[in-house]
Amino acid sequence: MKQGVIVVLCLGLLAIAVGMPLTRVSGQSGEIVMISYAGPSQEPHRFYLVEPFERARPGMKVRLVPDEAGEYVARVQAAVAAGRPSPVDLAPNGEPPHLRLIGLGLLERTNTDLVPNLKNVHQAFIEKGQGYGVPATYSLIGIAYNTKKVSKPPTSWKDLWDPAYRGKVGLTSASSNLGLGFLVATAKNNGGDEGNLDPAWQAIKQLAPFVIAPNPTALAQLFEREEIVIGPLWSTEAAVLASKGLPIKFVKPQPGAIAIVSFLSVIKGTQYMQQAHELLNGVLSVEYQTKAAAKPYFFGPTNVKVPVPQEAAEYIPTSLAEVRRLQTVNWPVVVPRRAAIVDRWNREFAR
Amino acid sequence: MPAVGYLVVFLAVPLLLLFAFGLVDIRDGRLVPGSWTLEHYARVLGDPFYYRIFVRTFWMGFGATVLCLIFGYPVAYLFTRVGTAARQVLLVLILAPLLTNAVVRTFGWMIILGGPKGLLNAVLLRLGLVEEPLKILYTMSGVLIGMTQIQLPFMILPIIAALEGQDRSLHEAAAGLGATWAQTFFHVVVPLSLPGVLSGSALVFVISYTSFVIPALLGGGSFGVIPTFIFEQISALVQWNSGAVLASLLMGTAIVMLLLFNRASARLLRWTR
Repeated sequence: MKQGVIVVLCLGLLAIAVGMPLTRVSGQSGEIVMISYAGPSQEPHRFYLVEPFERARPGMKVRLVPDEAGEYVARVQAAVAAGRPSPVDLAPNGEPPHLRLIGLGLLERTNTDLVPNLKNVHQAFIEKGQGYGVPATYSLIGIAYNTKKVSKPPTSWKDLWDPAYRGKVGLTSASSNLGLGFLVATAKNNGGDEGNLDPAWQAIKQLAPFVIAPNPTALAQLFEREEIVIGPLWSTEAAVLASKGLPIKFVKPQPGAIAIVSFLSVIKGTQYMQQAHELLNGVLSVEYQTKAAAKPYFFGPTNVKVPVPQEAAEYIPTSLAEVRRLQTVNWPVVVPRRAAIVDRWNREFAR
Repeated sequence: MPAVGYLVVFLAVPLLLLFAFGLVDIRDGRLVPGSWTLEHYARVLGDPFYYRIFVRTFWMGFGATVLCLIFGYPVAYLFTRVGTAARQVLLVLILAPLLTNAVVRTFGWMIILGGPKGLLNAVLLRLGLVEEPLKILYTMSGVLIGMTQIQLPFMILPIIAALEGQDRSLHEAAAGLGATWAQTFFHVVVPLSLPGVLSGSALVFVISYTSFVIPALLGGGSFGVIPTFIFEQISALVQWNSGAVLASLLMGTAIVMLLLFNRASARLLRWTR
């Protein structure tokens, strides 16, 4: 009898929980939730995007949430599936997750009429977005190394395989864009391509023993602790380490560093369509792009009107010839196989 | 009664849902209606890779439990043997690990264990005990060191409780009958403190076996344990099915091991009845 009551109570509460349209607190207080980077890389968003926006629109608040592993996706997905407003309104995503989110139907199409600054953006970058988000910045994957421990500066991706660095090379799991980008580039540099990653698995196995960080932030920490002396890293992360006074240098290795565009997108289920588009426009503005391209952030500008500052030459290509040397990845081929690639990565290296 | 309702709504129902997520197909964040299947469980259970990861997760929990017992018991014993002032100092020291967040403490361990500049290696190198810096961060040893420190209070406190409950006259009786200190300790004190040891061990094992933060930060990308895999499946890959299966299996194995442990404990403690 008692058990029956509990079961009924439980089912009733479940029904309430499922049926109840949970109103979001932030929706009432005029707060936009925007995913951002962790640490100092977040500063351009805060100082040159959010603060000007909040000044222009009193009453609106933008909360920046650091999230580098895409942890918010699962939350958005759960909310959208339950028909609730999204807990996140905007998010920056590198190309791989951008394509994945389009596939999952979690992004809003960009209303180009509301983003006049798009006319100043490289057409090739806009096309990569497939109609979603705006190409906010781009970063490079190159080689970072400790100048005190590495006597011969690396010039080519092959230099990672130098026996002198055995056990001191740091890689990132393929579950991150950094790891995935490096994996694909390694395939291409060894005779494979996006559809044939086998040469990469072979080559990376030969790098052993190496250290695997779960994410780029952890890899940067390993550089700081001198646990590793060389490894593939984001130009922006390397710049932050160098700005802290660490002996870290970044090179764009032969046959080319890998460029990955980061799209800022409006998330499905936002209640702030208009305001979110204003932020998309803001991130493409000359003001934002100039600041983000400057020391110590060095985010590659997508706005053609923004010149790359000379001090950024180490991290961002400055000439057209240099831009041409960048490697890009045909992400639409790779992204659908991402779960299988990460699974293989774990089976090979996380045993 | 309100507590039961609370538990049902916020614990039992979510756990059932979690279990159920492993039994249906979830595509693009949506349940595929009527797609009941055992395929997801079969895939994980039939895969020797996951079996190995479960074994490593077990050793992580087991290792932390044994180390906590080795380091915790003397502290607990000391606590019951000193005066009030010393007790207060000891209590603060024992509880100190609980005063900061596990993430912060683990970052502290990264600084101590990490790299040739890390405190541990610096000291060892200076003392000439090692020639080359030891590689501890991102290994099982590193994880166990961090885990032991963080879980120690959960071992020490139940043992203190058990030791405090002992009738001191038993120790005196043993001494009076000619037992040495060691004989008294191993034949009287330790057996009588077994209930505390066993409950402390169960607590430490379960917390360590399911711990995420410590293996994620101190184990790194090549130290896969089930909790880090669950995180990766759900957060990075949005594979709700695999995540739910692994989470259910982690919980299920933890419960089974606890039950077995309880049964074994009951045998060991038959004399207390």
